[in-house]
Amino acid sequence: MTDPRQAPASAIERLRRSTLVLSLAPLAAGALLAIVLSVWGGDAADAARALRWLAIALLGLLALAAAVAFPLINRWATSLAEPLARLRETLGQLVAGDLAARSGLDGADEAGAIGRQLDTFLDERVAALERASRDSEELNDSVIEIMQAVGTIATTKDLTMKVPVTENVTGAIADALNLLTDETRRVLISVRDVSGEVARGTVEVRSQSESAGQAAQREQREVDLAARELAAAAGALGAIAERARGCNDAAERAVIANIEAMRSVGSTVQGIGRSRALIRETEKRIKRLGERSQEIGQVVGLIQGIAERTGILALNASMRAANAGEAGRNFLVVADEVKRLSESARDATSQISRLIAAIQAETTDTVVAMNQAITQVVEISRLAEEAGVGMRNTQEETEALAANVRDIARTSSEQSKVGAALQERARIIQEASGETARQLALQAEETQRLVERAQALLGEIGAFKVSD
Amino acid sequence: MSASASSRFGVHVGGVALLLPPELACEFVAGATVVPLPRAGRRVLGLTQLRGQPVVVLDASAHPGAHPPALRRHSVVVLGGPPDGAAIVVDEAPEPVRAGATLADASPPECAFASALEGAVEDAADPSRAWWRFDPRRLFEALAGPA
Repeated sequence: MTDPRQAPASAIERLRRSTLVLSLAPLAAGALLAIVLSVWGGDAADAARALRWLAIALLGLLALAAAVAFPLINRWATSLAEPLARLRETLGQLVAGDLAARSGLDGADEAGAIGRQLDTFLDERVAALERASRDSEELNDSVIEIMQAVGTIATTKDLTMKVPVTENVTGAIADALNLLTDETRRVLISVRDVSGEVARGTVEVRSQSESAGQAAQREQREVDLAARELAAAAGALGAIAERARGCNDAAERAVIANIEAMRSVGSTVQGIGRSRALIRETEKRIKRLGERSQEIGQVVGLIQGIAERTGILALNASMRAANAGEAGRNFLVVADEVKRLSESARDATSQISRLIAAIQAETTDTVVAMNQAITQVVEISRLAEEAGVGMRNTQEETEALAANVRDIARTSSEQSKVGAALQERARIIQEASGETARQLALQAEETQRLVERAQALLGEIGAFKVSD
Repeated sequence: MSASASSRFGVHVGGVALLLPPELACEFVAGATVVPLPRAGRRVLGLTQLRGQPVVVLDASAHPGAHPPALRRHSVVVLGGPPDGAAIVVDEAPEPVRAGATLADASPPECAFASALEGAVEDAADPSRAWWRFDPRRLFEALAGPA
């Protein structure tokens, strides 16, 4: 390549010089006009003349400049048009496909430089195109091999096959495809195993789903039964609540009756106390009567003793009268009469004694009976007091019972409400159970389909050869 | 039974029916307190008093070897007046007897005072019964003597 600083003036330089010459002519005319106008200081007529002269001078200058610039411009145009035609011709050959076309320009001007650079560029590009063509062919071959291998894999579904690995860029693709095949094979093995597990698991799930469905049906039956039982229980709770209210009323009546009974028991205890006092007084009187009868017995005993002694005296008198013989006959009569009197007195006193003994025995029996009656009264009084205590305890217990019954009534009412709520919840559970049964049936169907799909998946995976 | 003028009185002593002598004053004492006498005969029951006079009490039913109790009450018949009389323990109070015919062939019963019995008479009211007449003095001797 020629150094531009030592080379002759280029076409561009010549064009610039010509242009400079052509552009300096108006400037020189203007400068001349300005000088004339500044030097000329006359009137307008003088000025017009001066302008005419000046115009003439300018036209002369222009003609001179044109005479000088034409050969320059012509030479420039010639030096510029030929290389351009060569370049156009060369480019036309290139466009026509002739990669061997070159400009052959070797001038020192810009066109020569452009021609040389174009030829150099074309040489490099053609060489690069040839290399690219070879590389492209090799790449096509590799791609074709890869495609054939992939097609074979796709056709045979043999994932054990390997795509040939080349040195070019398709080697990485082949490696990637082999890696993809290996990974796919490994994944398919895993998928096959997983699919087997899924199939088995699905079968188990279907079995469990069927069992769950059966359990759900049983559960639904149980829930239905529980709902009916809950309804019955709710009814029973209502009945219990009603009965508890009845018990509450009865307990309140029992409390009132118990209070009346306690009053009666208190009156009875007081009456028994009065009866006991009366019996004690009667006992004292009977005891005094016994004592009086005993005193009478003593007097009767005394009379009886007197009667016996009188009888003995009459006996002795009779014996004395008998001893006196006829003289004692009248005395004997008196003695006999005295003896009869004494015997009558003795009989009377004996009878009185028997009566007194009977009275004393009856008095004793009466006293014993009175004591027994007192004992009985005391016992009855104690029993009545115990009954009073028992009645008070009963009252307390009855009040506690009434309170408990009220609590039971309240609780039963609450339980009745809870029973109704439970019944409602049972109904909801019943509906949910039915929904669960339906969902389980759907799940069973889905599981069946899942089993079929898992088996289909196993079939699809089985089409792949994943091992030797 | 009322006693008539012809009636007499009889008494049972030791199971033997004795007819009281009509000439002897007799007095029945019921429940007489008898005080025993030391070293007395076994049929001498003790002493009692009749209107302040001591009277010996004889017991025909006393058995050999029996010791008299310290103090007892007995029904006795005082035969005769003190100080010559004595009392005998009787089974029961004297009773009037209508003496009938004499029972000549009656054998005296075996008793401690058989020697004092003097013959039997029939009870006019009850012919099956026999009453024995006795001598009071021999009766006292028989009972008060040594056994």
